[in-house]
Amino acid sequence: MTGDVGQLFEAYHESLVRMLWRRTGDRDRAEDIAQETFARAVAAPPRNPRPWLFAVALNLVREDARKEIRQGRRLQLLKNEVEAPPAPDEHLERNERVARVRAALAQLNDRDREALLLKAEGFNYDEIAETLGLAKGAIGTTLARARRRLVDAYEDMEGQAHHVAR
Amino acid sequence: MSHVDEGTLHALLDGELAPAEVLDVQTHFATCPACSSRLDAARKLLAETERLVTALEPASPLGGQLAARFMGPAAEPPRSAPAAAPATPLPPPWPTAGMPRGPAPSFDSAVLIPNNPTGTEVRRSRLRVLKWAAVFLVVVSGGVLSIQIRTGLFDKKPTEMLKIRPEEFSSPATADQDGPAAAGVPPAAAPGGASSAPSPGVATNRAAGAAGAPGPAASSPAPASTQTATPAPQPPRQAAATPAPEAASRTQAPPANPTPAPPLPATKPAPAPAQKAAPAPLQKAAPAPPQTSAPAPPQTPAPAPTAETAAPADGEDRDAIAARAAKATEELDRERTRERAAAATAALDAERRAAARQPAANAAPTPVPAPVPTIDQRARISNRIGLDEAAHQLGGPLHAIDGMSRQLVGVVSPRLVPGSDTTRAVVRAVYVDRTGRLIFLDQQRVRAGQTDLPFTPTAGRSGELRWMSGQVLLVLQSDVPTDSLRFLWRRVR
Repeated sequence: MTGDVGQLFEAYHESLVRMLWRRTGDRDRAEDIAQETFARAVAAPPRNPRPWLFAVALNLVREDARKEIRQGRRLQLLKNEVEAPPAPDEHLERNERVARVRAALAQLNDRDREALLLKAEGFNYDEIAETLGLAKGAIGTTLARARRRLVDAYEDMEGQAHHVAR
Repeated sequence: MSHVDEGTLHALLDGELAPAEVLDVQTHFATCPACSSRLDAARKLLAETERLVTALEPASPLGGQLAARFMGPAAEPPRSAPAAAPATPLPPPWPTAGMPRGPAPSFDSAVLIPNNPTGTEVRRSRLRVLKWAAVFLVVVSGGVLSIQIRTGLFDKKPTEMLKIRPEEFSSPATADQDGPAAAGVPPAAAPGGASSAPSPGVATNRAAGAAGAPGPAASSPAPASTQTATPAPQPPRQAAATPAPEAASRTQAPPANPTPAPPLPATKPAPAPAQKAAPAPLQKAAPAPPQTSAPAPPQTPAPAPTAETAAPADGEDRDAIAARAAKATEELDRERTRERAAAATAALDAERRAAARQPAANAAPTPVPAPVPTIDQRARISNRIGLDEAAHQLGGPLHAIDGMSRQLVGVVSPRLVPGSDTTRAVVRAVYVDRTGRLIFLDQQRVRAGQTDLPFTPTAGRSGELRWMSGQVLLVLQSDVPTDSLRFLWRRVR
């Protein structure tokens, strides 16, 4: 059992933390949630681990987000990201871009955002459908909408940023 | 076919459509410029999205700390070659047959995974700790009581009892047994690979409990043989002079500490091999006067007894030795911590480099199926034209096959049309039959006075049919047999 969990960890931990990091923007949280997810996998070994792990992790993120909203930490986190300490130009530029992408991603609804992030982790439509509890036939439409909204939101923000800069 | 919806476009680009669906969609693209342009837009959207999501790529390697915590030493690179930490590509989804990923890391206990407890879980864990503490207390008390009853310590004065206790806990048999037993605990069992050592008794318990068998030291009578062979065993009272700091220093020793605790005068008999681990220190510490006073069995004496065993040092020497041992142990701990930190740093660097190389691979677009040639390409049309342009080229209306739906009209090279004038353009009308085969009705306006062309259909060398209609040369070509072409010829208007 524990050996299996070890293999599971080795196989999916990196991908899971990356997805969670993109989802939350907070590395510590991402690692904590990943850890909690694997702890649950120890308690109840999943049959189909990849969708299971990511579904549990995303549930934990949502649960955590609800708590955060109650505690008002979420806004603070975004604020901290945008107002990162001064860095070299390229880092500053990159940080601003990341903050814009993250803000654009935050404008998507949960389903679209998670479908997008799962696709970025190499999930196929079957796995996305299983992870998010959707029909496979809806994944293409969901991804299409998510992509369009993300790009639109990002371009809006970039336009605003240029406007402010001028 | 109606227009391709957005979801299908993205599914096509994501490689999620079945081959038949791909063919349908591609066929539609050939006839629907709007959908073709939407496909291009979707392709750009997909690339842009991947660029944006990849921008969220973590700048530093992932999971290094947690992997170290989770995987224990198995996740750490070997100390001899710390930079050899391999990047781990994703294996096929679990549970495939075995996941050949090298030696599986050993997980000896679920304790490895620290929990993020909820309130209920915190209460439960506290209760669990209390429960174990109570059990441990009962076992220790029982052991102490049994020792006291056996040795008649109840008859002694309380001050003497107080003097005896630390010595009992710090007997060399205990020290010898704790060392290897604790070393038998796999390092992975320490939560997070931390270097803080549990107390020897607990470590021995854990080792024995986890292995389901007595620890190596508990079953090994070797140390005891040297001790029992020591001449002039001292009575327990003499041992009672051992200062307490020794016991304290030994409890600070790490489980795998190769530095032996300073040997003390051997006054205790060999522990029984089948002793349980939990009360072992106390039972070992219990002196058994009849055994010690009895002549020693014919055993090999210690080859080179240390100064302490040969001539017991006084209390101050022992204090100094104990202090030195404690200091050395602390130094060893610090050195190990530094080594681990260095190894972890090297692993982090390697992971960071691997992560820096990986984004490109991660950001690689999902494999798009090999593009099916469009109908334009299959028909080898160089330029699409409308009906007006075709009529202009031909000097009259475009000929058509009655009962069939024309897919497109374009201009092709005259070299593709047998018997045509190579100085003039050929207008090709493309049809698709029910089995997906293409049928070309090529038309070329001939020069005035050109009369060497047939007005009845004539089969060419490639199976095509050629005939004249007014000033226009018509050529019917397809993969279908010539008879079928003749059937189609009757329907050409």
